[in-house]
Amino acid sequence: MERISNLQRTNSLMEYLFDTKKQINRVNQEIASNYKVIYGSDAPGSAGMISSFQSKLERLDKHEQRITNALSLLDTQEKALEQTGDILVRASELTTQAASETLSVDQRKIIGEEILGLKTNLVNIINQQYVNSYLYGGGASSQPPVIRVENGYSEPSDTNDISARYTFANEPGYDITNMIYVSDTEQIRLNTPADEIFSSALNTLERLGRILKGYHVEPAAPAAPDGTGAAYTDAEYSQQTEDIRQCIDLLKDARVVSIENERTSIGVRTNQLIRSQDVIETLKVNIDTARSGVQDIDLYEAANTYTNLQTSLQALLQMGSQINTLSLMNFLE
Amino acid sequence: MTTGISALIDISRRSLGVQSQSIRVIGNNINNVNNADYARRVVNIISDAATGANGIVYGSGATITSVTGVVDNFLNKNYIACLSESSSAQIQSDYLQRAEALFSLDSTNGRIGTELAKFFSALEDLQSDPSSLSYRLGVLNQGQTLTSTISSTYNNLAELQREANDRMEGVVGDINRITAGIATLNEQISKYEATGQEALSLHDQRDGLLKELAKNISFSTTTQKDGTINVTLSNGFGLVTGFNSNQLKFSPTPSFVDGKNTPSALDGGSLGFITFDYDKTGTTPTEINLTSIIAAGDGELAGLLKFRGVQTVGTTSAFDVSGSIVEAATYVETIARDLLTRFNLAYLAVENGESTSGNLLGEQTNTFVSGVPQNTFALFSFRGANNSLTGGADLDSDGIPSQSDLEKFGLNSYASLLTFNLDDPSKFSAALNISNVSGTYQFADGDGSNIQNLLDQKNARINYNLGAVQVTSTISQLYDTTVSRIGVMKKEVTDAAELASGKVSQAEAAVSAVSGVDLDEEFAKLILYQKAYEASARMINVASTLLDELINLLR
Repeated sequence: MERISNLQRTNSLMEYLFDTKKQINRVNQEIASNYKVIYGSDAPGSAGMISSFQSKLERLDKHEQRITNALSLLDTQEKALEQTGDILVRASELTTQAASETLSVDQRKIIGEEILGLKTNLVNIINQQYVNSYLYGGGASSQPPVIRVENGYSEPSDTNDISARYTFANEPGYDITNMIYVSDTEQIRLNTPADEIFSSALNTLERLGRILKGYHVEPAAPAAPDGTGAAYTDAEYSQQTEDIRQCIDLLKDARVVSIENERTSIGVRTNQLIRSQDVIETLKVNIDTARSGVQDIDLYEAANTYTNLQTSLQALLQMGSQINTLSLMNFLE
Repeated sequence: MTTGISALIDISRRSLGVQSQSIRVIGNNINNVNNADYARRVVNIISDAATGANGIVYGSGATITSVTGVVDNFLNKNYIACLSESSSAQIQSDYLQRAEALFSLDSTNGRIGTELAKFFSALEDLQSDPSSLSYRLGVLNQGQTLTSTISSTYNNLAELQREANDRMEGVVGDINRITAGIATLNEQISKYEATGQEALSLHDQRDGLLKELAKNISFSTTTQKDGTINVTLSNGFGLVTGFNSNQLKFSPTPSFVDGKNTPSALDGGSLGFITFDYDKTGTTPTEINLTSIIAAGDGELAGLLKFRGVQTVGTTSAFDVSGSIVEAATYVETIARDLLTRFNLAYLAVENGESTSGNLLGEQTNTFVSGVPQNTFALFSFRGANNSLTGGADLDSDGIPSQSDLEKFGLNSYASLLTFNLDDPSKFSAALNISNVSGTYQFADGDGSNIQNLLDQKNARINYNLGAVQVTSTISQLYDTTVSRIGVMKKEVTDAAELASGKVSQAEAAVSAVSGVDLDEEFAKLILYQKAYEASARMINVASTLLDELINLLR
């Protein structure tokens, strides 16, 4: 028959009490943190996976934030192109009107004034800033993509909108397309170099403005102006008309080929970004669900465990107090 | 008949003595009911030699021959072994729990894995607009946070190793105190038992000291004929031999090192050896190294050694020490060195010769990226690197930040001193040289090619050499592996501690079942002896009545 000493009984009781309290403390910690895996040793097989999930979620958050910014940027570009399209449509209307030989040279000059105004509007659109950077600056986003060159044309000799030329900056970086990461490996282009989109529109408005104001633009379209071009003589009224009519086609090309193409491209990239955003959302939910399945506690289960442990503790304490009062001494007279 | 009454009185008187002494022993047992080191006493009573007359044997009562402690030596030895095992596992578990907290999964802030992810995200942000000052500041901030997180994690691990090392010195002191106590008790027990007395309370005290010693170190004991015990380590080294104890030393520079290399601690300080010096005079120390033999055993000292690491004479690196905290620190150090070498190399773009045209490797000291002359350890550096265009940490002057530079520089750890080298956002080199003319440099504003170089390293799978373990992974996965590995180490010792704790409980219960005091049992015996005492007294009373009758008869 095995003896059981008093110290043994007390030690056993203390051990059970200690174990139960330790478990209660652990469940408390889990409920407070909402995690059942707090340290790697809680689930060594899953710890690396949880750590990896946490890093991935962190990175997905950043990708998502970047996509949101990119969508805002592309939306701004889209609006700029829409405005450019409107400018070119208005310019086409004015050009059609100016091409009529019922208009005098002076009346054409008045229309030319409005065309030059539209050109300035276009330059402002190209040179607009987005969050402290030039929207169409490409890699060189701290520089305006279009620069006004006073007296860029040999004639007239006065410094004014007719003699001014607008050229695209060609310093290193202007033609760099910015890319953003939408996943750990996939990148999407954010911009197109300004000259690729706007050069035909800007050159045409510049050419048209000068023609209407009474100056040739050399060389002839569709080549880019080289800064030369003398004033039309009275005998060249028909030539001027012909040059104006040529600009109608140029404006159409600028709108359809350059601007609308770019708008289409932006639409495609916007859709790509939205799809990536959807993928990221799905990934985030899936990864977080996987992480949660391994790491998070089931609150109902934890609360149940907590209640059971409390009941065990209470029972142990009651049992302890009763065991210690049970003694042969109580039965001795 | 008179003789008979006299004998009756005598036998009753002696019986009173036996019962009262037995009750006294029970009193002593009850008094020690809560003394864990106490072995309950039992009274050994024998019948006295029979006497009689006329061929009739009456008997002459009983005598207490001895009072002995109830002890099962086998169970005691088992208990002592379990105590050592539990103590070793528990101390490792306690320390690893603190180490593991640095890699906990309940928070993402201040964890290397998350900070790596944030750093790469900051680079990706900058890649979308390399000229952006705010994105450049983002890279700088994340770079600084990453390096400070790595150094802080490493330094915390190093502090834990230092704490364990310092604690060992205290444990060695405790062991010396206990073994000295055992030796003294050996002497006292020997003297007592030479006179034929049983020194039960001294045995209890010595058993108590053995249990205390077992918590600190594992050992075996052999009992000698004179009642003394010898306490020896597994290699036969005697901690206690008879009346003498061999005092251990905790020394960072023991005599057997004698000018040889020894590895430093993770913090660059020294690690102590556990030794014994045979030279009692102290003039010419002749120490033997007991560190490994103690580490191979159990007890708190072994647990601390397994955590802190056991150093080998002749090795130099802090990472040559074999211990769990060193293994954890090795992972962190590997991440730091990877940043210092592979990522710096990618940043300098020397691998593909893009940063300069022409003879790049001959122009390393003038390597330009984005028009900014770069140091060899350009992006990630370390305090004390004396980083400069020429020389500095690039000890082989090849312009390439390599492991061999770090080895030659000879620092104990680079993780502890890791820094992000840039503090000016404009000096972050995002672009690569596009000049076709040798020796000239041209950079495109907004070019992010060099950022791409860095980002390409993010997903590169590298073969990491972690001492005994080879891991092929990305740098982020290496961190995930670190978390897993530390979790496994902690889980192993926690399981071992729980198992050992269960064994201690069982062994303790077994010892207590034999040697512990049960009050009910003592009360039952008390009743027995009390009744026997009453009966003896009644016998004297009967004898007295008989004598009275006899005297009255004679009147």
